Amino acid sequence: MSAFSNYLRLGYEHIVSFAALDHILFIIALMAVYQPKHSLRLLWAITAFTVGHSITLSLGALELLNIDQALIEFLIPLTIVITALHNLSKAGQNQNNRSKLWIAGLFGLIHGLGFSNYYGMLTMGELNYWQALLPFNLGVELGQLAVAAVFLLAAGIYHLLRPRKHRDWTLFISGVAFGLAAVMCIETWPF
Amino acid sequence: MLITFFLAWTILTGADHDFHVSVTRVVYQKGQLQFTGRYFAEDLEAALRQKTGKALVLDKQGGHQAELQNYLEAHFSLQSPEAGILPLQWLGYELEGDLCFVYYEYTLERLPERLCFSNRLLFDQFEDQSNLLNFENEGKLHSAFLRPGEDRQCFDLK
Repeated sequence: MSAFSNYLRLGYEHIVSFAALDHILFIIALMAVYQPKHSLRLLWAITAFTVGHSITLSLGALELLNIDQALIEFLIPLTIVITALHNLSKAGQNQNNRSKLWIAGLFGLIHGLGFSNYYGMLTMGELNYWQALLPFNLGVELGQLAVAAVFLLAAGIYHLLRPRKHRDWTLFISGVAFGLAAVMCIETWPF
Repeated sequence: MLITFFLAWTILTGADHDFHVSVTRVVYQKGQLQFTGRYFAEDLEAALRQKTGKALVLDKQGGHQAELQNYLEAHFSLQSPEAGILPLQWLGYELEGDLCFVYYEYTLERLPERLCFSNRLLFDQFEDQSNLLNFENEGKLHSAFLRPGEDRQCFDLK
């Protein structure tokens, strides 16, 4: 295999794993308000998350960001808590609007910081951005899309079985995400 | 509901979003194979702790070299079909931030037609460990992705 495909695989497997629950949970919380018929809007939200995520990934690669890792590990579950609370506070209302795009983009910035300590490992020495970081980042994004696809499938099945019960779906998913992320916040409390 | 319990269990049992990876760079130039291994220092310390039963801490003065060398050489090897396992020469290690850089070299007048790398480092420590290996020869890059159960890679160099 080429170096490109190896780093791509590394990024993909880093997201599609149980160890990546914090990242996956944010994507799920973000998606909880969308119905399958709003897949295009959902794609925009995932794209906004990806853009935010990629900005801080790149700033980390250029060594322009140096934020305490313990603080980042606390902020990541906090983004899930806030997203879930936002969903819960507006359950039953139309939420697939611009506010979700802003949440996705801004919180994507924080999630990207979670990867900033990987750059030394991946790039120090021989391989440059294009050979190592770019395929790693692409693998991360592919992993996120895979998670989104599986969740969308589950949402589709739910809506087939229980049409017009979208509010229940949003409440359930957001409640689960809130509870799990709250535990993670306590576990990673940095102060 | 089952999914919810599973997720809760995963979190409450302390699942961290760790990144268990190492990168080894091997360059052949001027009749020498030069190795640089990059590892997270705390991962190596955890492995050494498990192996020796002592809380060893790697430091900038290069302490615990013998223990580290023994561990590395028990889990990493380079073979050619003609010469068998090549006895690599240990040069030492350095710490930079949270990374540990390990250096080896081996004098080899000409490259064999085939070189095989085995790298099981940290596989006994982390089941999700990935070891990347990049071998550079005359500007050509060969790359391997090694995981538990797939810990050996051969490169044809004809």
